[in-house]
Amino acid sequence: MTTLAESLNPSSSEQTLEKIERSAIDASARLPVLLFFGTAIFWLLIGSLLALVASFKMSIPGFLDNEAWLTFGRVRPAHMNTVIYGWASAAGIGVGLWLMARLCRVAMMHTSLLIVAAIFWNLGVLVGTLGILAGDSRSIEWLEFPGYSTPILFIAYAFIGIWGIIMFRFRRPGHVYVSQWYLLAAFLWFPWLYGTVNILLIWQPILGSAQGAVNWWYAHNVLGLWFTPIGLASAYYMIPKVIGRPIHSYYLSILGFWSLALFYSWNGMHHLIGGPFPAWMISASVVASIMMFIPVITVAINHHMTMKGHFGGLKWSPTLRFTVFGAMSYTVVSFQGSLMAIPTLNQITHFTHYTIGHSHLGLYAFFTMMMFGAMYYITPRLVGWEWPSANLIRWHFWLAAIGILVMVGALTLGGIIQGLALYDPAVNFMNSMHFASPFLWVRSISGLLLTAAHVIFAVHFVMMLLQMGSKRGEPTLFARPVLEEETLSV
Amino acid sequence: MVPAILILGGLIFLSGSALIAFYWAARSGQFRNLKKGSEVIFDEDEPIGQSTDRFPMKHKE
Amino acid sequence: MNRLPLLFLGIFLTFASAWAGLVAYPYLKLGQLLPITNEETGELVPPPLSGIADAGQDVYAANGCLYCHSQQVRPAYLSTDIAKGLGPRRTVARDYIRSRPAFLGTMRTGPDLTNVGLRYSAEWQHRHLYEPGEVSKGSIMPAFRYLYIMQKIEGAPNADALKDLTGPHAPKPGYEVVPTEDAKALVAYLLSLKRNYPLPESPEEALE
Repeated sequence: MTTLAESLNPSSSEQTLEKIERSAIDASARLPVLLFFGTAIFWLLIGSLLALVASFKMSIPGFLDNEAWLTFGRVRPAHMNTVIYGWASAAGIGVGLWLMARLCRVAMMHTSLLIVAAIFWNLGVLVGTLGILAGDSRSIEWLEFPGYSTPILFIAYAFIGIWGIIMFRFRRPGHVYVSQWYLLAAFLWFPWLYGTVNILLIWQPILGSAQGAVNWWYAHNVLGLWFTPIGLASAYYMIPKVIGRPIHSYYLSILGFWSLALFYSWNGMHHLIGGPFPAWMISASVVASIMMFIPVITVAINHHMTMKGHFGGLKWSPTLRFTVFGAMSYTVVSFQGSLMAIPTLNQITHFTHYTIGHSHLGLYAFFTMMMFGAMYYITPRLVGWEWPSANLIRWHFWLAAIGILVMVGALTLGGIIQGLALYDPAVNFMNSMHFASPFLWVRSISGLLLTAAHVIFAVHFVMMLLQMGSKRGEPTLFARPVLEEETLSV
Repeated sequence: MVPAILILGGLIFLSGSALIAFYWAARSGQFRNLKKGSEVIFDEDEPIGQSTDRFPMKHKE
Repeated sequence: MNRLPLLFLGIFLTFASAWAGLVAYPYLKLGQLLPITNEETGELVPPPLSGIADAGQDVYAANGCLYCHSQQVRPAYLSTDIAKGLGPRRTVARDYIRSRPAFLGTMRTGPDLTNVGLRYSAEWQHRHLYEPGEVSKGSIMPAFRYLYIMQKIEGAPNADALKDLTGPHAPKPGYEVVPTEDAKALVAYLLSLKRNYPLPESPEEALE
């Protein structure tokens, strides 16, 4: 029976010293990771529903307009916060926890910390979402959860951070894999971002347009220093593991990590080009946004060279399909982001649907698809069963892929048209709206495709929990190892 | 004043830990033998050359 | 690696610089701006908000007006905002020191509101909030009927009752639509949105 002090000291642990079965690691991670995955999928469904309501309201303004809690100005931030904190962050945490255990090569310990964290996290999201619908949001973008819910999230997070540090101390000695660098960085960066912005905008608000600077420093950094590292950590692990081949250039992956860390933080102001700020702040952000080409190209080359010759894997591996879709989207959205920061282009695209297309390309086509891929890999290893139905996975993939491509396409085209109309002083404002309206209808329909994909995924996940698939072979291989004889439909 | 101290403290902690991390990594040889580093996620159970994921089969074993 | 200390210094400075530029500077400099005195009129600019207009900011925040409406006029060298008549000059940090929070916004699904107080009367604003589709044909703005009360007329009509309502929710004979305190506060806030006072850091720009 170890005391608490002993449980925090690596030199007292036997498992650090001897090799441990991979399946034992997976088994130890089961409850916390499934808790995060399950609740994340719940919020994905809620967030999708809120998205549909908001999207249809933009085409039918009279839709559900009797109640205060359903007004567009509340449903839209409720959608954003449930998908950012309820779905994406929770899925990212679940994936990150499992990756940490695998990469530390020890069984998860102090899982009670994580279970408490999961409960608090979900409580925070629930209270926050209800608070927005009740009218307590301050309309600070990406931070609309009212002040009474954010400490709950912060506590949840603190537990996760503490756990991460303990796990790292207990890891088996040896090389620290690149995914682990990304995860540790993400786990440390996020509380600092969240704490700083809560202090400066909610607890002791600073005055005036300075809030905008801090607001977008936060929001953009959540993308680049929280979601991006978790997504890339997953890609750097999943791609090599699935195809059975190490990363092409490990040196490039390390270069990519450090250059991301250095350049990313300056980007935030590109959301406010032309805004009430000193010119140097905006210019610095534009420059940093262009500098981002370096880490992004690094990652793209690395992924491509690793995958080269193995693209056939997209036919038989669900994880690879989702992960590679996500990785390619990462490259595209990052290039698009760098270009959008150029003032000549920004004059047209700022304030339009184009920005929304960009944000969905990043958070959905990159991050969400990446998380789906990781969850398809991880879940069987946690429960010891295969996914019951290949067809449900295929439907999920195609509905999501087509849905998001159509959505981004519609918002991008609609946004450009809207932006050109807004730019021209001779064009009446109302026309900028009318020109874009067919594209908003297309967006709503693509949202239906995405929601269907999520329902399928949720149902399939529940089937997994109910152990409706066939048992997996030991230790973590699928039962039928031979590849070349199979021809499977896509 | 308190918020400024907290934020400044956070920054110093973060940058400091980044520096310490980089220093430790350089010292403990994380940047040596990168090829071996990339192979650390493989072992006897799941060796290089073997895939570890596929669509579930329609029939059970 | 002998050059480690120099490398560390470089890493530290780069990482810290973003924080310094985007968080510390706004906090220390922009966040401490004070109103100044208009030399011609002797008034403080930006002018303080009346109590009810200040309360209106809370209604604006609670109902998410910012998700469709921006409040910033960009300079002529970066946009056509001034040519389109959004304001006589670009907005600067000092313009937002009374805002809680600064509703800069990032979408123009609806028009920019920086100077909306110069364009419409209180009557127009109330009618527009109650039935936007009637006031602006083809508008996708949602109606904010929940900020208003439909009530039976008792004796003389209420002085604040909305006039000339034409849409499907217009009051039947014998009924009137009256604004709640929230609606009055919101409209007072909208009427306060005027950034046509001069500021030395943002001179009026001649139209091209």
